[in-house]
Amino acid sequence: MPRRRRLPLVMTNAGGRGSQPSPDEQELAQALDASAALRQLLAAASAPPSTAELKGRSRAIADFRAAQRPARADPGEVATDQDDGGRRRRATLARAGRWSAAQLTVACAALIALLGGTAAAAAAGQLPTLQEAVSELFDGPAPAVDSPTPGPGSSSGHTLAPQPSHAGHGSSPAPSAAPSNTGPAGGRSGAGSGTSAGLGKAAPSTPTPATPATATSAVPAPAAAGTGSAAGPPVVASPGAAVVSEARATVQLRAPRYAAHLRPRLSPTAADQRRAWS
Amino acid sequence: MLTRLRPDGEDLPDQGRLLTSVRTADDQLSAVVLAAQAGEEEAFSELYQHVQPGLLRYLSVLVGRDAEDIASETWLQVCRDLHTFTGDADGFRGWVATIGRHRGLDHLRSRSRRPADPASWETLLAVAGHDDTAVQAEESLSTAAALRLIGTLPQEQAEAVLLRAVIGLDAKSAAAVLGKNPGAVRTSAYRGLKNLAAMLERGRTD
Repeated sequence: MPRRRRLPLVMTNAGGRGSQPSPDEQELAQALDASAALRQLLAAASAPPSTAELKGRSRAIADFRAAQRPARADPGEVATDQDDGGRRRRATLARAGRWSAAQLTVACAALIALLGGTAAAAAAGQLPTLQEAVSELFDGPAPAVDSPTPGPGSSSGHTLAPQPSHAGHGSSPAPSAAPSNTGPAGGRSGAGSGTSAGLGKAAPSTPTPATPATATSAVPAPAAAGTGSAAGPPVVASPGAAVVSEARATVQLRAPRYAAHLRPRLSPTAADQRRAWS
Repeated sequence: MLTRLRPDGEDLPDQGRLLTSVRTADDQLSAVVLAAQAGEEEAFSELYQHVQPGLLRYLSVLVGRDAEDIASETWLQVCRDLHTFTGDADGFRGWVATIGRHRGLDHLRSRSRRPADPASWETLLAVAGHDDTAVQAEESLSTAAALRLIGTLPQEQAEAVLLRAVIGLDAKSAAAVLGKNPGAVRTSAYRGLKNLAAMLERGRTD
């Protein structure tokens, strides 16, 4: 069944807006009248819609229905709409990503500053009172501060001679070399014996006096620092191993020494606080 | 109840009856726009049925085969922004055409930046239509041929002819869609029609 053609709208507009058509509309009408083929062409171009042209109607109505719902009424239903929900979701994610990146940067910087500051303060022994209390809660109460007592080995005047630390600095972060201070300080192994005195928490503080052989040894044996095999035969070290061992011994020596120097500055305040609490 | 808006009359009805029916149709369309703004689905469906064919044909000349996608995007935006529209029937047609034109031009720009990746024939086999292809082809043959011929005009003339003759805008509304003054749109439409007439005359003599 052939479709009936509408009149082209250009002709309907020519007279639909007023009683007197404008000159250009008269020209359009004349152009249409002059060519019947053109009139047929425009009638075909404005023919009634076919079914294919209206196949998006259900989707448009669904969009209309989704747009009529308030946005906050049911977020789940709105999110199921593919175009609208997807666009909103992308915008939300972009906004969240932008903010989370900035917040993450700030949070990381703050965390690093907090941890670094705490670590530095802990290393310097200058923790605030509250943090000191918390530290002691988990770490146990710090023993009373003693004045550093020079051990017998310190009088040797040698740079590598161990400084026997004062007994009882349990919270010293220096590495413990406890096995060496319990063994007999014989031969070259005496170089490390005073280093570990009093560093470990559980190890009893028994500073071993350095022997004259220790004081005169320029290069400590590599196995002397922490192996505990002091009873074995002396080991002849190579020059490279001797340098490494010397550096290691220097680090092990200096850390408790610094801690010993820094500790008395803070200790009165912490001790007063502890006394007040007890 | 809503009635059919467009007069489906004979080829050349007499002028007085036509003017009356056009005024009535525009008044009814204005009422339908108001009803759709109030949330009536039936009114929106009537609006769609009234505006979509012209919009789709206009977009098919503007962007080619992607016209249906652009029309869908246009209606999505119409649904979202319908409550912000103020105006009469002609203004509504112009508003929808403006949205569609902007979407189409955006699509053309993006398509020029990203070349299309055509689907494989295996994909197309799975997309079977439900309508009778022969009937559709017969129905759309003359319309498609007319639009193809209009598409051979220079773009501003083709747009002016489509907006005025297919969508049914007056010169002022078409000028608002195209961003020109009404005089320029009238001139473009007139030149386009004259060119079309000349082409048809040449085709008849050849």
